[in-house]
Amino acid sequence: MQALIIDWIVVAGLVIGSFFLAVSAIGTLRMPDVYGRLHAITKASTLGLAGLLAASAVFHGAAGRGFVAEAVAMWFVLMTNPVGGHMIARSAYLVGVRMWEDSVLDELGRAGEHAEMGHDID
Amino acid sequence: MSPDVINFLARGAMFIAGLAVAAALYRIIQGPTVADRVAGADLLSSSIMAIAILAGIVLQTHAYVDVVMAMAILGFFATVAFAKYILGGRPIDH
Repeated sequence: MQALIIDWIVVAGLVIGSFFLAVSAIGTLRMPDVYGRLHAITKASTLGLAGLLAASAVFHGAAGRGFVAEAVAMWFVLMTNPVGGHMIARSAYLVGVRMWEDSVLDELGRAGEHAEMGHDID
Repeated sequence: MSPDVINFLARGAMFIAGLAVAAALYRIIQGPTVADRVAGADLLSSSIMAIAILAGIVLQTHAYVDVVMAMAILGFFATVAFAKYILGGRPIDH
């Protein structure tokens, strides 16, 4: 019974992780501009990696091989992947990469105008 | 059900991660701006980490998790350094 529950947890982690990885791949190919692609890449791939790491932690932990390394790796991925995405988006915005023409909101003004002023927003 | 189903699912997830690697390579080659290429490199490192995790599940070994941790740290630093490089600044601000 316990082994069955562990198997189902592993299966759920694998399915969730591969689903979000597939979402990330499709969004990378289909999104219209840099900012949309960064949404797909950072959020979906972070969730996908977290699911796969959870499945790996339960799988190896149930087999007696330890799960601390997976927990540390999952913590690190969940902390750092969104930070990296935000840094890429901020750099792209400050350099002046244009948004998609159907974007409805640009709270810092039009992208590109700040680049000519010497990127002073922080 | 246990070993066969988990093995099959891990192999399927590895195939999906391979598709994500292909998408990331397409974005690196095709991407119109430098930020696109950096985002593609980020997805590439995430997908390779996923493949390492799944290889650990398929081969039933715990050794690949250290690879995953090292790649997480290296990928984050590479992303931060590339983002700073796009801005034309130094990696460390004073």
